[in-house]
Amino acid sequence: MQKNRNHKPLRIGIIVPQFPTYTETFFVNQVAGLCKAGHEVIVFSHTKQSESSLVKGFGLDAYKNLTIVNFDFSTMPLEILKTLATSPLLFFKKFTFNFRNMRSAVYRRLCILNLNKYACDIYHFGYSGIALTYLDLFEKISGKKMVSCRGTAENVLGITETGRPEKLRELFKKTDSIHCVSNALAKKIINFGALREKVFINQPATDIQLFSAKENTRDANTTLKILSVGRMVFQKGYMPGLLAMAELRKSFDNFIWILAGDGPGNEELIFTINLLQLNDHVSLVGRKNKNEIKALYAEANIFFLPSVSEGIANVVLEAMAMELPVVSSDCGGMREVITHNVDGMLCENYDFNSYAAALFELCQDEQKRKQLGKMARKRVEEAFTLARFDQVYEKTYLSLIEE
Amino acid sequence: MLCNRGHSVTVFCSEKNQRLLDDLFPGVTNLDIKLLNKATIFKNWMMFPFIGMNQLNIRGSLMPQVYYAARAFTINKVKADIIHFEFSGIGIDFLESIGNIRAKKVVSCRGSAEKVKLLMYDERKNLFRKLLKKVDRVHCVSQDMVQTILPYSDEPGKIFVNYPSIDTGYFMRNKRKERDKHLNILSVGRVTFQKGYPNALFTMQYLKQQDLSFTWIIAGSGNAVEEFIFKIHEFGLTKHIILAGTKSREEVKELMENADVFYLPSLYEGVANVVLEAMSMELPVVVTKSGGMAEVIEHGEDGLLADVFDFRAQAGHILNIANDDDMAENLGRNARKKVMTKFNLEIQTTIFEAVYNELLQTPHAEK
Repeated sequence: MQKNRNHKPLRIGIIVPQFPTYTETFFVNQVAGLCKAGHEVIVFSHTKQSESSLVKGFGLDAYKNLTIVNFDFSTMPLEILKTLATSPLLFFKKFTFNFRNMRSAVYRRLCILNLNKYACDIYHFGYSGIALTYLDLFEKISGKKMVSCRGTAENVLGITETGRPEKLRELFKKTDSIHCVSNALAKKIINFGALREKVFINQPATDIQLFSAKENTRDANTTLKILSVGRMVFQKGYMPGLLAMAELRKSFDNFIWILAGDGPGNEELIFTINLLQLNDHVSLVGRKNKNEIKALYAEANIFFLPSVSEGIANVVLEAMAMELPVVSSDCGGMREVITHNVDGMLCENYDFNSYAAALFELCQDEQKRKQLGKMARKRVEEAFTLARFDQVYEKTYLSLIEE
Repeated sequence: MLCNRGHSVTVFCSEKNQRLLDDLFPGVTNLDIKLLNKATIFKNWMMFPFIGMNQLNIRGSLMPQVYYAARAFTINKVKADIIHFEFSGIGIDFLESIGNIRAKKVVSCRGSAEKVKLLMYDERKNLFRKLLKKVDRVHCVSQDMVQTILPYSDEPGKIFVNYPSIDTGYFMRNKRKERDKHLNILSVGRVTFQKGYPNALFTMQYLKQQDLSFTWIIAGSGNAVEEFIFKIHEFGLTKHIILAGTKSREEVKELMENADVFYLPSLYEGVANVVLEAMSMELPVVVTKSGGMAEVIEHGEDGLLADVFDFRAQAGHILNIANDDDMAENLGRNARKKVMTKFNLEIQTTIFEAVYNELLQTPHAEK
């Protein structure tokens, strides 16, 4: 696609917990973009086997310059022996009587040997959390190091986990480049002690060909469908969301809130739905794959993001690309995407009464829904395309190598 | 209490805390604690390896069958007249072998197992229905709980209510806290979604907007701590809230002595014992109408009630207590009176004793 550039292809290692997954399509987009541009990409996944059906489903099997490495040494005594032989000193240094510590030290050492085996120009850690697990051996990784900050690990754990801010500070010192998904997050990271020069922003993007209004089946004459997509964790704000629904029902009855996603918060949700007697107005549809989610967007009338913490929510970009009017809480980087009453609606974070008011307004006004949907699509086409997303990464990788 | 009345009691459990035991039951001789875990059950099985053999079942796996039978055998060795499953979840765990236990059976319904678990899983509904059929009597901690489980029982006659009780002698205020301008709000209970702490931040936000000088102390820990801490920061309430962690009985009593108001923002409850304790300590309480709480408290008389999620009303109640010392005083005094007369151990034991006695005179329920 972009082969006639005047630079040689790079070898880029991307380190993630698992690859590929349904929910983290930004990694898939990133990998596909780099492969298309002719770079060698090695994805290091920290789980056993990656699902081959998913690899195919995302069309990743078409790229010859993509390697997926799975870090699973539990079945590889040979590897462990090899490490012992090549770096016996480590074991003396790290020797403790605690088997668990010992095992995790061995595990990380093995991971690093394997990272270095592929001799990448750049090692890009997909989350600051996964980079932290390598922190004490960070210098042993050859090549430039980059870390992505996406929200939860910094916004939430930075507050709730003791010692996390100090560890992040150390990580930001040791790494060469820090990627943030929004301006809001960049500000936060700099407050944590990251050098401004190291930080760059690459907002997420979405595939505007795949997500388009072409297949929309939405119908304004039946029960209005309000859609939310995301794991059932407290960050997604489904509790304030439910309170908003209870409020909305007082003035408007003909709606159903469809929640796609799975997670540990389910008991709380199901109980609260019963308590608020919202059983007829809320439908928990569980985890859905990419195509199923697309079908949900296609028939929804409104997209609702009541999150209390976000980097930038990819699902909102997808919904906007599908010309869905969005009601979003003003959390994290969401205001960098949505301008209130222009291409969506923004409400103060946690303010469930204001969510209900915005939803009510949209439920009443089909014209406004259409208008916001059209503008939403335009906004995504202008600022959140994969082309832009790929360019920013490529540019940053190249400048890092030239240093 | 049952021991004091001359009954002999055996408690089956998986862990034993000897120190707490000596603390709570000094010099009690007719109490026996039997550990019921894999090791003790195996020991019994070794002595009588043929138990469970008649359970041989080609379809199911052998081990659980033998385990269940051996467990029932361990219990039967005590030759109890009555077996009381203190939680319906434990009763369900015993369901397979409940017919093998030779005693009258009572099961208690106290809260989460009935309020949440039954909503979650259809399978659980069937098991619960079976359990209610197989036991002789069903104990509920409140009328509200009776309503919750009624759809699962064809024999409402088996169900009886016995409210919890607390030790009013122990939970007695020794010193009176001087009321100053600053309000100490206390909550005690695990930090799980049930207790509604993150939601209660809306209440605290409102109090802050009203310029009330206050501290909210929460004693307890649990799996919603991360969410709670995060939201405390987000709401800008770090200076107003103290997460005190898990506290012992003495420490809880001390916290209650230093509090001005007790706050229970729960989404659901059977009946919250901590509220009874706070009332016994003459604290004015602000409580959500969760589960059986509305049966305990008469609004305006011995406590203040508000709807779950009605944060405005909850905050309003706390403000009223802050602004009206006489009302606070009255609520506290009446609260202690209420607990002394209605939620004392004497009443609770008498009801259980009567149910147990009656059971001994009736034939066995369906096996």
